[in-house]
Amino acid sequence: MAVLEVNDIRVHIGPLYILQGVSIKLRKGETFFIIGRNGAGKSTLLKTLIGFIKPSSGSIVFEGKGITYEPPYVRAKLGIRYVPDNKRLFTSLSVEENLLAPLLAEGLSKDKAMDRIEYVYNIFPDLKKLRKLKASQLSGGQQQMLNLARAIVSPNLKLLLADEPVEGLSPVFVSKILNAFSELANEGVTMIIVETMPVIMKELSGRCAILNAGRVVFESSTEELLRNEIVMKTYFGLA
Amino acid sequence: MFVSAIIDGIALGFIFLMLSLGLSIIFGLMRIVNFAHGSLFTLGAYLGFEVASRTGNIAYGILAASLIGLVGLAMERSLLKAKREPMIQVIITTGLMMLLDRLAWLRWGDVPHIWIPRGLEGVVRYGPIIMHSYRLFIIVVGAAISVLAYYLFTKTRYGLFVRAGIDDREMIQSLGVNIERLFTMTFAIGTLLAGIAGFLLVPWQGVYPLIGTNYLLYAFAIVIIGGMGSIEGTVIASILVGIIQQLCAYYAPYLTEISIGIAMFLVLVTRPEGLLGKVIE
Repeated sequence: MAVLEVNDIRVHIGPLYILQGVSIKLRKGETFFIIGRNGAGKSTLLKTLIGFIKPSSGSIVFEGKGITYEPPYVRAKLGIRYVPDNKRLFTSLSVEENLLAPLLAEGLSKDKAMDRIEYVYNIFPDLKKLRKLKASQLSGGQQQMLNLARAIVSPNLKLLLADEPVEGLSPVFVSKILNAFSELANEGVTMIIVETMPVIMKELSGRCAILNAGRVVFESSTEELLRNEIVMKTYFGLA
Repeated sequence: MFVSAIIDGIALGFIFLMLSLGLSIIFGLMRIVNFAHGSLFTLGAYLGFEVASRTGNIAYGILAASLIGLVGLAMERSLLKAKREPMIQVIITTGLMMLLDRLAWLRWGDVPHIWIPRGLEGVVRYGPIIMHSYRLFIIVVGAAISVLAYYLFTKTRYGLFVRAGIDDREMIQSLGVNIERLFTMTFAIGTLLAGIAGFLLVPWQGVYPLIGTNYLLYAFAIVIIGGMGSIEGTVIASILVGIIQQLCAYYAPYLTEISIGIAMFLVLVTRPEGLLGKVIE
């Protein structure tokens, strides 16, 4: 049974037609990559799934529940979490407060929240050393680790939506983020990961779809896509 | 005289702080410039005055004035929730300001009302320094409320959500916070503080229908100087503006209004986001 069904989603932003009938289905524990060029509608799709953007038509069903027009906080309570491409950390809060906020929002006590934060510190030990610093004082790579940590700190995480999680990062930080995603995949977390270039996709297997001008133009397993020279050259310029 | 002016300035600063903090937080979180905030300050003053003058008890007056928080809650739920566009909210709050000021004039008239609590009418002398008892009382109450507000915004779950929401109210929703509920609570707390501030001013400067709207200008200046949405900035700016205002009142009354305008102008030219504010993208 599909844990997420996106049925013919169409999104207009002003006069622009951004998503033109996108449909995808995800099984529980699956890692699904959405790839495509800039402006293809990848970020818009994730923002529609988390509830920042209302679709013009179509439906989104998560674990059998229709969530098409539910506000973001309701989707979060169902276990959907979002890692935006421009980090959007709470810059006046400390690292630890950024991690505490989602846990307190779920109703955890402070003690249970701190236990959960220790779990995230095991995945990102650097963050533990930086926990008292304000998020604005972190480097770009450290901020991206915190961005991901803030999403995965929830004990009820069921679906992770990650937008360009390694874009612009140095190899050291790419490696740390990749390890985190590997661990999440091993734990059976369902994930949708957006990439412009196949970086994480080369390391994690799953399924993928290419989005072009708001439409899904190709869908396959990640291995099939990486072996398909015509698609790799057409969309990524890679031989 | 200088020490008296400073003490009065600090007392006035705490009044400004209670009035401005709500305005700053409401803007920072909800992006609403609440033009009715001054009118709620006036309403709190009148409510507190009516109860305190009948009972002779200042604590009852403060409790009555805090009921303005319920008025703010009702306002937010009924009028502001329906339309969140900034321009519409400006129109709604401006209309409410005019309505409330007019209702206050109809009910209480033009004549200022004043009530001074028994036991706080006199002065306290410390060597050559003379301090009005009631101003010292305002400092004590204002400091206590400020400490409570500080605790609320920095040590509680609610405060954490407000500070996160001021940074990015869309993202805090994606982490499970019901932003509408946060808006309502924030509006209620902000207007409650304004109501109490209005009543605390009654024994010092009395209450008349337009007092809140007049003080709202100071509140806007403070929020601009301190930085919209910045709690720490509002604290610093409130005390600073209070001291400047009272120093001018004592030594150069003709400079009182212009001095605040000059301070605001200097901040806008050199640091438009305010002393401790953030650049709004």
